Amino acid sequence: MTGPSRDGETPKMKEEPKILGLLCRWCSYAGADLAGTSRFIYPPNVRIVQVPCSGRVDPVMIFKAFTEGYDGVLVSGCHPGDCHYGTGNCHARRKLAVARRLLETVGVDPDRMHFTWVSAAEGRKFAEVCAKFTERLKTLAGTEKTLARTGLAS
Amino acid sequence: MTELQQKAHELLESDAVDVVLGWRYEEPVDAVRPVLFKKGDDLSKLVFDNRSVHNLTNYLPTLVARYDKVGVVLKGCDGRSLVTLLVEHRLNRGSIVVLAPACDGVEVFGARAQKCDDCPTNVSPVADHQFGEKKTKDEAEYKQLERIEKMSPEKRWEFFAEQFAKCKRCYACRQVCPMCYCELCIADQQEPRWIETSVKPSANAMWNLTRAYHLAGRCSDCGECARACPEGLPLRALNLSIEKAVKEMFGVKPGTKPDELPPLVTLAENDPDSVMGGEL
Repeated sequence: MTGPSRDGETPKMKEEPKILGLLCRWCSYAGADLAGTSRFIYPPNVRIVQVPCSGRVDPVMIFKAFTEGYDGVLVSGCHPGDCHYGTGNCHARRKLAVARRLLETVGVDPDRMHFTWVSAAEGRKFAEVCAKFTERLKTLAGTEKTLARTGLAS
Repeated sequence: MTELQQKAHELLESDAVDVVLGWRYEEPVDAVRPVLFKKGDDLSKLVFDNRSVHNLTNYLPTLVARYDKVGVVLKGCDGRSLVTLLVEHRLNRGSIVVLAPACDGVEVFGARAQKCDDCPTNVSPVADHQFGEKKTKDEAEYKQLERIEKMSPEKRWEFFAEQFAKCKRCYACRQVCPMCYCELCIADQQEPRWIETSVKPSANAMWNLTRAYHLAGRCSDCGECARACPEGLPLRALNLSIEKAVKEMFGVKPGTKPDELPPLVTLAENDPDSVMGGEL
């Protein structure tokens, strides 16, 4: 279903967006765990990768995700002030804000990237974020076609 | 002798500096090129005019390793690069003597460089010896960026995909950049291999986005990457988009604050969440 077909047809819109979730080890990953143990229902589109801190998230990871064919990237860390390492999440906010604008400049919809705060107690919030983000990506079909056609997602 | 030549001569003769890095006119090719002047050299050949395009800060890290005191001729944009290198502790202010002539803009391939229209100041912000009058402009205009901002997102991506497809991955943009000084560039890193070496659309996009991002809050807009690019990629536009974003969000223009930490390493607990794009 992904990428341009061999005979050069315009690729069909993927029905289910594929999302890369980069979650901080101390809050958001535990929040995702809580969403699971609490049996909250949310779309299974997010592939979760645990990172030691949202400050570890290098924008290169986000560029990589998009060039490897992900439709969206969700980054989540501790709320400001709650970072296990003090300020990693605040540094992440600055870095990702800049990366977002760069993606916007080259024509990738910045809404394909979402950065949020989810604490270890916010299982419900995590489920909601996943559901809303998946819904949003489903409405961004136009850009997705462009990405595949021009080879970014190859 | 011009004031600049006179001062360079004085510095060399009095052993205040070991070398002076500047431009020399080369008659056979009718062009200027960067040259090291030493004691006893003919300083009447030292020129500074609209052909002095190169950003000489790029040579400084190598030179300060060889000489105790290095004199260097810097334009406004080059001086801003130097500020960033000083802030990042790449260079020691004490080993560099800056000769800062007022710049009227340079020519690249026979036309006035675009960067010169956006230039905020014609004299280097760090200067030991200044020649000519300092002029400053309050607001950068980002003219090249306007052209791209007017396009729809789809058009923008089409434009950049076409441009990235031309990239040969020669890394001239990296070699010519004074800010690209990592001992192991992420593009050469084997494990993990973030940026594939093959010339294909996705890898080219990775390289060009990563290069631009690594200049966030550091690029002084000297325009050397765009000049060095054999395929004429709009690298300056990428750099400018980041510069504009950093300026709008954090209010900092790179290379203008010698006493402040760069914006992306600054502790930032009070940033508004709106910079991340808001709620879902």
